[in-house]
Amino acid sequence: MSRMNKRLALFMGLAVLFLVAFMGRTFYVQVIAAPALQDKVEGQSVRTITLEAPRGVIYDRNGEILAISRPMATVYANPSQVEDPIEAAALLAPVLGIAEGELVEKLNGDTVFRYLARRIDEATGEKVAALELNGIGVCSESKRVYPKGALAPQLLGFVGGDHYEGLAGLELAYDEALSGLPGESRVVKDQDGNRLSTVSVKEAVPGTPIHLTIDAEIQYETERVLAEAVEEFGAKKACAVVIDPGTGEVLAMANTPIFDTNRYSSASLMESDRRNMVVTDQYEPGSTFKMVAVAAALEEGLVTPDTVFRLGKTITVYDRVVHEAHDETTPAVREYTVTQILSKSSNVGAVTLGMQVGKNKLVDMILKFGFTNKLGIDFPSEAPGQMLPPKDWSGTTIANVPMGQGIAVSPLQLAAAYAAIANDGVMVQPHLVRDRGTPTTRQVVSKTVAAQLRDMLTVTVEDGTGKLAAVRGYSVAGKTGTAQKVKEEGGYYDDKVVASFVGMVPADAPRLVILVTVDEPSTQQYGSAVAAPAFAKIAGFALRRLGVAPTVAD
Amino acid sequence: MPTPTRRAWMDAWEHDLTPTPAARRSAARVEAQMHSRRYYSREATARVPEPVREQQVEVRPTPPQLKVAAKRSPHWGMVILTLMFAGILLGAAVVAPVLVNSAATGLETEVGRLEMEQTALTADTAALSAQISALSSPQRVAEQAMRLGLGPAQSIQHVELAGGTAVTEGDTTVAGR
Repeated sequence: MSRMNKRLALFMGLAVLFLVAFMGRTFYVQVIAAPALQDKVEGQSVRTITLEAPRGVIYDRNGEILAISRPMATVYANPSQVEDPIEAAALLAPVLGIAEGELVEKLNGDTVFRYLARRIDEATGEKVAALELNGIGVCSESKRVYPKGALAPQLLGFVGGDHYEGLAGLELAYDEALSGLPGESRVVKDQDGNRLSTVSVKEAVPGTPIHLTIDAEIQYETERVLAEAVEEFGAKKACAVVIDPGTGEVLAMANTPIFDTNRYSSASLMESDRRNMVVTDQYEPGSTFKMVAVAAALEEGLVTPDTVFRLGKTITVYDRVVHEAHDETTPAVREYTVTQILSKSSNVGAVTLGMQVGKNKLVDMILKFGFTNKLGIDFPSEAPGQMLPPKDWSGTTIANVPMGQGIAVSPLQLAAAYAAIANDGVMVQPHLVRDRGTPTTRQVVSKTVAAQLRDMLTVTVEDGTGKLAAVRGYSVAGKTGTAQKVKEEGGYYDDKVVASFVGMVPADAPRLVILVTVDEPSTQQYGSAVAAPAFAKIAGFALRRLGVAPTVAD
Repeated sequence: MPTPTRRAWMDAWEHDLTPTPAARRSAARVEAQMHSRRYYSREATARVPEPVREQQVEVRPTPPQLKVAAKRSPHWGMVILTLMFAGILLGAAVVAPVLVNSAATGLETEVGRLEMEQTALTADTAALSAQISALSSPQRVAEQAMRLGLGPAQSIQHVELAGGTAVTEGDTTVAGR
């Protein structure tokens, strides 16, 4: 072998040796030492990022957005890395709009993480990021916004807490569906935070959108009318509900005071302002409850709408003397048909009917309407009605219950009972969200009795106490109510009442059932004067909105 | 011509080389045995005389002609080829993974950028949806209508298809005018 060939062979041998060594080292690093190195690397550069699941949108029945989540900026600090808290606070204060002293206090803490401002607009977040302060970071968090502002705040509720979950209203009731499932992404980042590779990704499952039965336009008009009534009559509060009796869909559920839903958690609001009174509160219904006594009498076949009763000015039941509401104008003796008892809202007549029906039959009818149970509406904290157990009824209880005293119901329960009358005696479970299962239905009274009651209630509006509830072009059936409020220590207030009106329209084929209650009106007290006009305004708007043609020519 | 002595010596020599008849027979027998099956089927018990072979004349190789050679120049082409081969191997082993990793990182960065862009677009979409919803809220529409001097219609007319008559609801004035 020549000298040159020997050199070439030597060179190639060395190259092969080098490659073998290199490959050996690679094998060691990639295979043998890989798990240990992987752990080391993951500890240093792999970051786990929580992928936020977008919360589901809440739409009204026509696809209008009532609640949506938007990404916002959140500014946080690692106080241990902040070099000069005073200087940092001075720079941040004007951008964040937070007092400098407050920021200094937050930046001086011993902790390694502290929020400085959460869910602020992204432009402000960008300004903070541009300051490039050590120990100050900006991340993205979603915020729930209610773009319609002051619309159905008590109904929609709000979200909050560490996990930004639903805490009230429909946000709470449908929290599981709306929340979705957060995901997780494990990524490798370099020292500058640049992403180098993705180790694993578990995609977030977005929240399911929900479509309410609520019509934003009818809801707005209902709230507007209520606010107007509260102001006009100097009332404390008011609430109303609009139901489609055939489907059980709630088209509007309004409460006062009306406030911007985005301010739901504001400290300036009282707890009572946030309650959806339609569902969560009870009240003694007063005369609107007389319909139940009449329904029981008709259902038992004890009377017909034309059965005549000879009524006195008062009626005495044991030690209880029941008067008429308008005692001074009531003649000493009257002959009222059952229809007149209802249309003129006679207390004496209702008690007379109740006594004729008897305790057991009256209790049966109350139970049939479901006043003592929850309706099972898809809204949290529903209040059931309250009634003294029949075994505990005193001799005078039968003189109270037929005219709506000594029994408490929620406004929704009363509206649902009238909706059953409107729907040929079939009660459809009221609900607020569409396409979430079939609502339960049950026959409460016979179709005949329901029709008789509708006719009698029509007379109430045409020639009785509910004249101000009339809607031009439409026949209206309904009942007024003026219930004295109960004192905590027992007995009733003379000057504090709940004025209400509940009715259906058009009376011959009802499309809507509307209940309006006004709490403690001061300038007027009777439901006929306070609540009936509000009913008429809401009904008129809703009928046009739904395109229901007039049924009665002027 | 050979001398008589020489002739006599040559004859004697020739005589010695000429086999006797007995020797010829013996040789013929041996040859016959060598071609017989019996010969190969049993173990040989007697020495077989070596067959007569012709003498090979050894031809001696001619010794090479030595001459002085000039110094050979290195094969540069081969060297370069070898170096290139080594370089390619080294490149494949070292540079290629770096390039692959670099490309992967570049793609990852691109994915990250696209994801951020998607997030930003989703945020913009949500913001626009919220804005549209806010602008179309009944409250705002009512305010705008009020500003323009509009109000709820006090009179609504419906046509009854069955009777062919117009139903008027309310008076014919419009609030706000």
